Amino acid sequence: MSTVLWIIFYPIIAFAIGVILLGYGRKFNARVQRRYGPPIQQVFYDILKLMSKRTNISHGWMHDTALVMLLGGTLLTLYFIPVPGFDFFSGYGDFLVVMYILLIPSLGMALGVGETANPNGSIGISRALQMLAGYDIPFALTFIGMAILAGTTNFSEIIALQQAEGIFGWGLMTNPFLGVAALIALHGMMGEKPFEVMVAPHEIATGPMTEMGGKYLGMMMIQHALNVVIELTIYINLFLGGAANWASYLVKLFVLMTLILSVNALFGRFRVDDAVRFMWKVPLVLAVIGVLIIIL
Amino acid sequence: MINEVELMQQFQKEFPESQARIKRERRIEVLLPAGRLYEFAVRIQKKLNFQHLSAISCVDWIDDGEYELVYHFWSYELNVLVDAKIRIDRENPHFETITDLWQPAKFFERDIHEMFGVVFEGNEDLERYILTEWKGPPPMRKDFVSRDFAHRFYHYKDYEPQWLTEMQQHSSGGQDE
Amino acid sequence: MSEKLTQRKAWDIVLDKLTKRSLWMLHYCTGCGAIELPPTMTSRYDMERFGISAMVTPRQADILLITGYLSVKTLQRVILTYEQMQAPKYVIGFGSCTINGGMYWNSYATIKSLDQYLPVELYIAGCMPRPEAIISSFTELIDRIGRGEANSWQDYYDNYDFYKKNQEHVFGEINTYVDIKDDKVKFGI
Repeated sequence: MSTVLWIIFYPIIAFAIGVILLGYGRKFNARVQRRYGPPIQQVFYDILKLMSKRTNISHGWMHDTALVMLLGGTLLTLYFIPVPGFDFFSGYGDFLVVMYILLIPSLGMALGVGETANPNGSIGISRALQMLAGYDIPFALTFIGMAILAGTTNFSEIIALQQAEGIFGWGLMTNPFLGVAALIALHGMMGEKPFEVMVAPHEIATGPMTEMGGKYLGMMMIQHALNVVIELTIYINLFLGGAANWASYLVKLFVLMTLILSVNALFGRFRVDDAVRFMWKVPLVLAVIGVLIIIL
Repeated sequence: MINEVELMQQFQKEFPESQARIKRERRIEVLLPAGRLYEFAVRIQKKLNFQHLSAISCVDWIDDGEYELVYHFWSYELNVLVDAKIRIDRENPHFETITDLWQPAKFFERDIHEMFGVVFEGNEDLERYILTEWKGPPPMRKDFVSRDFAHRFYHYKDYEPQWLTEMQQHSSGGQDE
Repeated sequence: MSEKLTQRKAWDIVLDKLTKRSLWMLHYCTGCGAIELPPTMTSRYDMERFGISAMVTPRQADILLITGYLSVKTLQRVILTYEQMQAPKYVIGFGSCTINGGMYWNSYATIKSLDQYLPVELYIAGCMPRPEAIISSFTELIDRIGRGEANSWQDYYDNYDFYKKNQEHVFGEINTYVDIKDDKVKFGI
């Protein structure tokens, strides 16, 4: 019974946490720039305003379907990642399945944006997919490294292994090379500066979101909030020892987000070929060293 | 000033019917008959190496019934600006183009065609590019009164406040320009 | 134009109070008044604390700021942009050139009175208004949305013939690829 309740309400809880994290991001950014900044619940107001627009501009059925694919793929990924109190589905899909499903939102967005026939959108999507090729390779290597280290690909077992030894059992402590490589790849996956070339507001008019307005943009923002929670939770489960209860989970989320935001507030934006080259140099080399240390 | 004096003597030697004058340091003004301008432009570009055509402007002398076209040439080496001025008829204005010497002259001539109505023979592309929906006469002519046109064509809000009418009654009734 | 007095349902009252906290401005600098926008957006007169931030495409924006004079050539592009925005949308006339011609009152190429061509919600006086004036007008707009009085966008759908006649008088016929009468029926405005 409690499983059914979890299945119904977990996306709403994750959405609320994601919205607060994004609002915290905007507030942090503003305070670094020595101004006040919007209130923390600002992203919630944005999504509400977008969903309550009266007119709608649709570019065809493919455009509409692709956005449903975007949100559906993210929701599906959400269920496979364990959080304290809910890991019902992690027995059915290990993190190889998660990595595979994580590609569905990007492909959905590519299809939808291609349908709008706006050159800014096409440029943005091609850059997003190039960045995907960039950060996915070191990320996959770190996953493989952790799987070899733990001897299993199941999320809950990896968490249990890390929690058994206290703070020194965390993935970050037992294999720092893999931890740091995954942190840099995570930064690219979340699309924070300096790897923000996918959005690039003033260069290509927000890239894929150029022709999206109203309800479409609202769904994309909901997906963005859920995406943030998913990616941070994957990293916490693999390298920061999972979370035993909700208090430590929230603390770890906000500390990790602050670390990423600190880099985001200070950097400009890399060009896409510079970003891919960086991703294939620094995190890849660190991940390869980490895997070699484990094997040998 | 040595450059300017030398240049002025050279102009007076080659174009004796022109009136050349040094206005101040680095500025020379040459008044030419209309037929000699092309030759002057060729001479000044090829022999004296004035590489930069700064602008072509047009002045409306409505009392004389003429337009005055002014060609501004600048030399990078001598740092001197030479204004060559010619006069053409106002009722049916046309002149030859110097686009084959300087390519940017095309846009200056297009601008003058739009604003004054001068037809430059030899310039194939004299389409309007600034006022693309304009249907009236060339607007920079002195007999085109912009205020009357604007009041006829555009819609203004009614604005008659009490203090303005009182001021206009008490004043000596000047123009509200 | 007269304001449409409608009876607001309870859901609309709540929604107005929440959506007024997040308005997005289109970063389209139509005239010289736009030089006062960067100081309003940056740290000293921070505009983002009201929830207003700058967006770059008309599909995502709510507020269209007509900053200063509009020549006839720009007016075509502004109409194209305005019809691409999604309702509800607010036009703010910025500076005295939109009110009655301003500094260019006797020019043959600028329009004199903006509300003949677009339904205007608010005017800001000044040439050009300082960031404090801009922020006070934004808070005025937020209050009007909260009270439910900011309905001038509906005027474009209702009196489209009037606006279209004025636009065609100034610059002739253009094709905006948006069918206003069709949208009015489809979305029930």
